[in-house]
Amino acid sequence: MKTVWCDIVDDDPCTKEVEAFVKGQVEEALRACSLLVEWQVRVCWHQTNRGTPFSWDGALETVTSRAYGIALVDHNLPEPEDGIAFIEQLRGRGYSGYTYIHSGSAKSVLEAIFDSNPTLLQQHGAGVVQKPPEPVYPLNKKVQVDLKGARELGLDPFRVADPKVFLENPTEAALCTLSAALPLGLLREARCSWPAAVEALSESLPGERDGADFEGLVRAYLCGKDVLVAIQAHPHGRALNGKHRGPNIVDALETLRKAATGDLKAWNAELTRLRNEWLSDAEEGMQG
Amino acid sequence: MRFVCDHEAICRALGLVGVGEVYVISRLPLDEVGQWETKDVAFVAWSPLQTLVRRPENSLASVPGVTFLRLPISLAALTGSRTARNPRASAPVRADLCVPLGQFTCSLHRLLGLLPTETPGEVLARVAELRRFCASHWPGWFESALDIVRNSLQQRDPTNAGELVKVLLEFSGQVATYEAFRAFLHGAGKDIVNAGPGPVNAALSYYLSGGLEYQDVLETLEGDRWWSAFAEEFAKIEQGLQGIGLSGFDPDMVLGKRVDTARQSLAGFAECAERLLRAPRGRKVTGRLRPRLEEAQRCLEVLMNTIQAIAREREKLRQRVHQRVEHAATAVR
Repeated sequence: MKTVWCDIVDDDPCTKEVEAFVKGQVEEALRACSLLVEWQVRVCWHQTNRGTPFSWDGALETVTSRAYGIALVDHNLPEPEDGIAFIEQLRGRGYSGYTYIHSGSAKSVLEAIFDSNPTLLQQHGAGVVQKPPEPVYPLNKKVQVDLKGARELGLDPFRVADPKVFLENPTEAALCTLSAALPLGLLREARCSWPAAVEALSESLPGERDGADFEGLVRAYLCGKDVLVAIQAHPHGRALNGKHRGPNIVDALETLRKAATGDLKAWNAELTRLRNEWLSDAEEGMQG
Repeated sequence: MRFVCDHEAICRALGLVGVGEVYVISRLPLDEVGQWETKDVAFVAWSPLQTLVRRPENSLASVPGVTFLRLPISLAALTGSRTARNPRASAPVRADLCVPLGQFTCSLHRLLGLLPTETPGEVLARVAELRRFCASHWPGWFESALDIVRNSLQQRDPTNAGELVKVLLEFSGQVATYEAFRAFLHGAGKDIVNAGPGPVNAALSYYLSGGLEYQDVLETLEGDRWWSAFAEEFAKIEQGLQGIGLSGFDPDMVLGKRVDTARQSLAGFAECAERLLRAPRGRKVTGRLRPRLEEAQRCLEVLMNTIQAIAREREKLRQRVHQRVEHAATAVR
């Protein structure tokens, strides 16, 4: 029998009622997915307080060591957004279990948290759940969704495909998009016409298929292929459709495609505009 | 011209156009860079230089003699960058700026230099980048210390922030050395106790004390031929330690001869295990096989003890780092 660890990370002290509730909810989800005979659920509470240096370290170390796990992280740990920072650190250390923001806040607050963190929370094995007594976003339903998702993705229960994917950010996505577009202008200069540049770029496309390679998808789009849906579905595409300033991925690619019919100066001006809007946005975010 | 990019996607883009030798900063050929001249190197990025060099991994971009090219750029300017350079400013490329430890210490030294004079916004941006860099290379060691540095800077206290930065400089080499072994330590992918070596060691012990059949040992070995993956991982560790050496810190000062011991014992075990698996099956254990099994167990125990000793020392170092940071943090408060 395998063990799934439910690690509750909270600045409040442990309450047995919440521990029992979490255990019951996960068991209910396992039962609904006909997996309860194979799994046992164990719950561990980590009380943390960021006011003291290194107070997260023990919890991070323990949770990261779980082979199969669900980390339920309080949003206010104790400050708002600390929970998000904690999950980022977990993913940065390679934690490949499920990560949920676990909050007693109102539905509207939970939705705001969810909307503001598309990369970290809007993927398989991640999300927000509400604490009892009357959860609008119940844990058992969320676990069920992720267990079914794991089956569809061919993953073990309580494992995500790649923890690093959760650390995608708009800057990374912007750099990949800009770099994917870069060769088209350089090839236009070398080959003296857009059709010749597109033809040369198209030669790099076979082998990059089915959305596995974001840069390949962007290049395919610039070569006239209909891959916008796959681009938007990719984590990079989602990161650039999140609530950040600067153009979203669809608008950016459309303007680039249009620019790839005019002169080279206009193309470079468009690439420069995108670069400035996306990267200065990231810089402000970092300093803030 | 050699083009060094801050992002792999730029490498792939320039590779498609075929402009020449293109490298990403995180994967430079370390055995060659020492022979490069800065006049032959162009650093290519989308970000402006001022933003770029806040990131420790891009320290090379601000070295005098290295040409900086900001994208987008025309093909003519890219390929003509060789003629635009200033050969008089050229010097051999500093290999330490091509490895994480050297990049980290260089950035810490630069931060120390900037603390008294630079604007708070610039210094805080550099601290944020240092924190991200540490979380990526040595997670759990320095992030909290850098949070305290940030807090003290926000309270306009650069002197005490400087003291904390000096603590990080003091420990960075040791931390990098011990962290090189992270893949073998508890909770990691090739955990020396819980992954392959532990179960085999247990099987050998039970067999040699009469508690298991020879066939059980063979099945355990066949079930997980972990030693090949371990040897590959160990080669990566040694490569990492060589990189640490390039940054001016000698890992042997911390590890002594442990790396040699671990490598030899791993190779010794692998040889024994392969021989045992090649031997004809169903054969009764002869007097010739028993010493081989004993040798396999001896090698395995040496390997596990060596890595476990490193793990223990790593934990002691963690306590020392925490104590020093706590001490400095108290002074900050």
